[in-house]
Amino acid sequence: MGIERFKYIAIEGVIGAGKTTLASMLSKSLGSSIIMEEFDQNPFLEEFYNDPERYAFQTQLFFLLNRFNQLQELRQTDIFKQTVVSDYIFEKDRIFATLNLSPKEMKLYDGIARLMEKEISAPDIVIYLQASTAKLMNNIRKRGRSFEKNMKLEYIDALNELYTKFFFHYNKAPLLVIHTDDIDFEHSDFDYQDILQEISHHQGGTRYYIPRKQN
Amino acid sequence: MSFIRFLLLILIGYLIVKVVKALFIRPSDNPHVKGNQRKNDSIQNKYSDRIEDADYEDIE
Repeated sequence: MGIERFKYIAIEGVIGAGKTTLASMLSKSLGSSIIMEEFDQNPFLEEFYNDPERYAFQTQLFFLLNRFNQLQELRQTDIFKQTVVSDYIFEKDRIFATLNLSPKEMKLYDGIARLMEKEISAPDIVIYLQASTAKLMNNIRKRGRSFEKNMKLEYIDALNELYTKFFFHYNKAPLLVIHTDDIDFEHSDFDYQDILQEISHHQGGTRYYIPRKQN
Repeated sequence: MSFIRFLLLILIGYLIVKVVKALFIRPSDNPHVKGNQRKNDSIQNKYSDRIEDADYEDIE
């Protein structure tokens, strides 16, 4: 029993949930390597946020291929020797595709994605950071990434619903759901240590994190 | 002089009408706002259709 038994830990959540922050903190605590989403490499992303209909397919395909290459590399390294923390799971791309692509585009995308999904190893544990849309919008505004400045509330709200639907059915790996509205693992060591404990004690299936109260 | 006064009166009258209109016209009567509203509604409808159609049960 201990967090060390998880060799491949993946963090997930809607845009602004704190995935990268938690992944970086975990990687530092565990002395592990980290795989981060390379969203800034996507040449279509800024155009996508300005004109989603026109640039959705290119944006999705770029992410799909990019994530596939990254996780293929992970498969080739010996993950039994080294712990890896990632700030996404491969299937996240499908959640975005559901929302962004037209039915015809989705059919084509689905064919490609299914072939790739078979080649990707599942994480040993997935941590899903859940948050209210208001909190997500607030986090997005605070971090001030230039390409996210036109992010619409309706879009984040719809993504939030889709994430909930996706993780309701998720069973590829043990899942820990953490609702982050009332905790601040980035600035409170108590909250962060509590989350570490919860991960350490995870015994499979889906678990919902209930924050401990500080005395 | 009387012509300039006449022009000034027309200008003031025009400004008063503009101000009164701006005060009393509801945003929903404004075609631009209506257009945006329609666009937002159609995006929201598109999103809710796609959320409803999303099927993640058979992801392997």
